[in-house]
Amino acid sequence: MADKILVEICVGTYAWVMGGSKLADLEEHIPSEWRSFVEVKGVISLPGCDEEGCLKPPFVAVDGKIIESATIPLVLDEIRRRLLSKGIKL
Amino acid sequence: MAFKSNAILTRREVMRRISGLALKKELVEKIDRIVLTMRPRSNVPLRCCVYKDRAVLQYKMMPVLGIAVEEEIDELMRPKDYARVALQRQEPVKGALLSVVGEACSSCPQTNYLVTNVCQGCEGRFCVLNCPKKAIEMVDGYARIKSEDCINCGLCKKACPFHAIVYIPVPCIETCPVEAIGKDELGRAVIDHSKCILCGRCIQACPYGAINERSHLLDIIRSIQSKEETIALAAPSLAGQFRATYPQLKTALLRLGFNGVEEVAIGAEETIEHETAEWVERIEKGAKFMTTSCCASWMNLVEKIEEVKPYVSETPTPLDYTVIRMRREHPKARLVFISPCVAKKAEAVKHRSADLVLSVEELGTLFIAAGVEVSQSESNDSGVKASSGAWGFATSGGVASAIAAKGVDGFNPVRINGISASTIKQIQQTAKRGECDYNFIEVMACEGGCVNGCNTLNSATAASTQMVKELGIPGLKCGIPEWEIAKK
Repeated sequence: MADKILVEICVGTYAWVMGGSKLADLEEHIPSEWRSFVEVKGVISLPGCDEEGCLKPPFVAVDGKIIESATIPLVLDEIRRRLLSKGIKL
Repeated sequence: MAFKSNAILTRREVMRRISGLALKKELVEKIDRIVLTMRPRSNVPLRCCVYKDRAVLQYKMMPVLGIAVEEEIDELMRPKDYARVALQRQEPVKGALLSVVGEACSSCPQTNYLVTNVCQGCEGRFCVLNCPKKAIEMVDGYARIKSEDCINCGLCKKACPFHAIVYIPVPCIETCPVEAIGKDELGRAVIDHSKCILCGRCIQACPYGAINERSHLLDIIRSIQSKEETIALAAPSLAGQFRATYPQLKTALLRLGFNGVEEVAIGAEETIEHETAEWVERIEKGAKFMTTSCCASWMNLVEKIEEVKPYVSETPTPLDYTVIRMRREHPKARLVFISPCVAKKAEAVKHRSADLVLSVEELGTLFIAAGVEVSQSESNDSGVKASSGAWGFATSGGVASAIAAKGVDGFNPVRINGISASTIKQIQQTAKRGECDYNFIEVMACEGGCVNGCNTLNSATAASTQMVKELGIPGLKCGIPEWEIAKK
């Protein structure tokens, strides 16, 4: 089986307060047929987590690719893209 | 799914920046620069131009400083002038806690129905023929609603086969369960404070962030930086708001500068005991039912519904019990209640229970400003002191579950999970009849309970799940039935 797609949600206080809490329900929105291919975890910091930096929180990394101003639909879209590129039929 | 809102993020960013400057004692010196940093000229403007954006932001700073926009005396006063006033005050804010930033308000049109350019100008003319007020005319082959004649019945929208007619809500008016929001002569939102129950839904609903809560942030920062003993009283719902355990949250609060952190859930233990006893006594004396009284927004509503008053519990709230105990144990301390909603803030101010109130959202921004990383804080404590039943007050069904767990005979509870215009009508009718299918009604104004209060950070389901796991509360799937809303 292909390696699982790793979804890392920054749960640092800054990201959390500035919109990251809206991602708390992400796992519930992952379609059931995708779940065995996806692993979701919270991390304290991701590259780009900087209050005055160029990137806007909240941040999510999908297999290392940083999504800034992340929302559930954006993250799901990236997961879907990666599943397709791994040849997993959706 | 909860949706992101730039208006909410802007508010938090303003809070974060003001808190940061206040903590470094640079507020008066640097507050005027916040608008330049947040709205640089290189940005694409949100409104007509960057200068309007900056003006709106300046006004939005006033409630964060604890000052109502409606109290503006001189248009030439700058944020630093207001900051100076705020830092010099000895008492926290008085007066209405909600303030409308008129400059931010978009004066959303009251006429709710609009024909879009999807209109096909069909031969059927469904909208024209079926309008009861002949308020629709054809202009250049397409339908147009005459707003002066339209009564907002919505028949045209139902009739149109192309779905070309849309309903445009006025979000703040739409969300208010008590019709407390009207418009001034310029079409801007105005809150009728005599009707408002401070549920805070309008704060979240406004897409322009025009409705704001007046803050005690500066007063709290001054207190935690002073030599005064300052104790945080943590509402039960606080436990589910950050990605951290309660002991970690406690450590984080101590790092902020609080001298102590108390669980309001301990006060809830007393509420459970006394409310259970009160219920038993009332039922024995022939009462048909009793409602809870710990939701401050619900209690504001009760003030306006005479029929319901005799049925409402008189047991003090968890906060009341906590404050009584803390005043005894720490008579000189400043008590800061960390609250999930603006109604609770108003209650504390009105009853002079806690000295100051910090919303969960404000707390989050204060953590950021102070560089406190909550989820990396140590768990120095052995855990929580209050029972899971007491912590359960945080979610809908929690109060009823806690009393049910006492095993009293004949206890037949129901919960009102979020107040709406329909539930208010039903409660009134039930109170008038004096009969109810249940003998205990737990009322929480916010759907999901306090974990979904107007200034919380986490979603209700995620917060509830977290608290179920950590504290063993019943949570949202508590098994207490929900009040059935009669269909209109």
